[in-house]
Amino acid sequence: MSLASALPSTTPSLILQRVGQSRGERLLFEDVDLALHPGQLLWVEGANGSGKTSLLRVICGLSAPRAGRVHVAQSLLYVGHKPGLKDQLSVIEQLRSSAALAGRPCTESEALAALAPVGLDDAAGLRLAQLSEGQRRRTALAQLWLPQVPPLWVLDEPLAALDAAMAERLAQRLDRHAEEGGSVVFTSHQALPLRRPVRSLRLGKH
Amino acid sequence: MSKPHPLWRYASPAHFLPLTGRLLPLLWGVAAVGIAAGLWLGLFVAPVDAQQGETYRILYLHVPAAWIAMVCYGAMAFWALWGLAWKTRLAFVLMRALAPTGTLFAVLTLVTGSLWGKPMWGTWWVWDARLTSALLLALLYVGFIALTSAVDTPGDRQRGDRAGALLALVGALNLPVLYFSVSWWNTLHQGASISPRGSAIAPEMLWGLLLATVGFWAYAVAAVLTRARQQLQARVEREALWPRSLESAA
Amino acid sequence: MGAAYQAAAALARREGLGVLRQPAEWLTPLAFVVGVALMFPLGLGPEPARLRELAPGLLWIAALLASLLSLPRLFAPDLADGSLEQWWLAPLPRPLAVALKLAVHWGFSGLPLVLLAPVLALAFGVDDPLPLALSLLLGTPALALLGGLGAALVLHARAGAGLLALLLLPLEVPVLVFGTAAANGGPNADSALLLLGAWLAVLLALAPWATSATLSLMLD
Repeated sequence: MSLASALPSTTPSLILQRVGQSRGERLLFEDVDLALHPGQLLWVEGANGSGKTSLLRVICGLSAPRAGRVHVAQSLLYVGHKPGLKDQLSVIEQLRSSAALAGRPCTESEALAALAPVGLDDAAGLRLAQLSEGQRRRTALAQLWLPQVPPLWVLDEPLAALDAAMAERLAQRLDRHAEEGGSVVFTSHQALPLRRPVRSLRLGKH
Repeated sequence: MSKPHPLWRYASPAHFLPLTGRLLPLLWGVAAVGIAAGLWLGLFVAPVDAQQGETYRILYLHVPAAWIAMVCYGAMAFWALWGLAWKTRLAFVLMRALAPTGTLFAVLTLVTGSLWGKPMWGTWWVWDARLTSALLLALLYVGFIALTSAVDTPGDRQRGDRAGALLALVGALNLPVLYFSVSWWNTLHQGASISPRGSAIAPEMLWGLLLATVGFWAYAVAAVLTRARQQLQARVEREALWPRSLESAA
Repeated sequence: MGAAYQAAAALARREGLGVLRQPAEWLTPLAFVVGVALMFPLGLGPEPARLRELAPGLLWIAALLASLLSLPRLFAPDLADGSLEQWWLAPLPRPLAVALKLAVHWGFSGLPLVLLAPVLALAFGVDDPLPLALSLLLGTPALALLGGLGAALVLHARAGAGLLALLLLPLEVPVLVFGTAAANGGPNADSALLLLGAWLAVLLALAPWATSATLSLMLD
């Protein structure tokens, strides 16, 4: 497996300078400063409604921040709370479609290989409408096991609807990604069983 | 960074509200005088028209109403663009404040046009280019109000502002094509057309028209500014409910 | 450019599969037009001469109303399940993504109308349905482009379909006027078709860009 392009660990993969965001007239957060380097894992914490998802969207470029600037050095992969799953597609079609849409198409065998760690390789032909919530979430996460992955990963509540075994496998994947020079920004209500050190950013009331 | 133009300070409520507060009594005064004098001259003093009899008097309402309806839409589009470009709250407030007044005058245009036409054509409505365009303009206004109110959520007017602004801009850009297509369509089918020309304009008529026009314009501006003040106040008050910084919320 | 092409192909494929596997999506507008066409003689009387005269205009109106039917579900599901955000992040110019989506949508709902309406016109005794077909060939894409813009504007609005009609009908008037004039044949048909074509070209250039700007603001 190779990263699309590896940065030397001294060059940050993500920089946030005095970033602030509001929703309507309500201020969510302000003055967020951050430099994330390759190989680092960042856990964005905060209570519900504190703006964690909004921060991730600002990082991805989906929302413009009310204040401050965001610099992203490389291409990124975003698996959001709603990860773009289409009911009429089959598991393998969904996976290949998401990858191609991101500009990183994969072959059928590569897709099947990526479905194995998430336990969906024998369900590859099933339509998403027939799957449980946990299986749907795992389909969305299967992208992380494809051969071509971008260096920066932005994951919103990746543990949602996953059981302990799957959470362990996900944590292993994130650890390996960081070892290979990638970086991850994620939000989660529960701690991930990660082995590498995790930086923390807490939003909301100090 | 260079100093912003001094006029920018009127974008803040602290300056906008006092300025408009001083202007409004003057505007209402001009409106009252202008409309009263214009209508008196038009309805009672000006002579009966040779060709159109008494009914031409409705033009004292119809002509200014049509102009105001069109200009209001243009102003809405202007503030829509301003708001999208510079993101000032006041621009969106003015844009929204213009809509009800514009709608009023668009509907007034339709009603007066119909009233003027009835004695002439024998029907309450005729599908000529001008009236049909006026109807479409009224629909554009209603659409704007419907969209902004459907998108607004309590406490967050931002999405409604943006959707409305985009709609106003799209509508404004479409208007020339709309007018063209409707008048082209009209010539195609040789419909009737209303054009209030023909006889020479008596001085009382002209003065009456001018005074009424000034009066209606003053009314329109006053109504829009009054509404804008109310909306701006409301937004400022709503914002004050949320903490300005997170430290103070702890 | 390889990544952009892959993304474009993936988008088109995903949209196409999605529509294809939901037959209701594209059959409904066609059924609607047939149903409305059935209403004409029932409502206006079966007199052949009058039906023949009115048919092109009535079929155009039916096509316009049918185009409004599928609009509420154009972007709303994508917003709801997060796919809109996926294309926003794709290495594909956003106006192009919008244009592709609208093209697939038109391919399933507009193009069949171009083929169906002339058949219905023949049923109404119209001798030469070719002007109708040509006018719809240029007109239905224009309606789709305007419709996409309308659908983007009402993305966060409650009560979509009626509101969409209210917003779009004034904007679609030029298309209707030029389209019906072209469909009715006669001396003005050629210039009408040219005007329609010119307006379509303008919309092709501006509408995808305006729609993607709207979607960006609505996603924010």
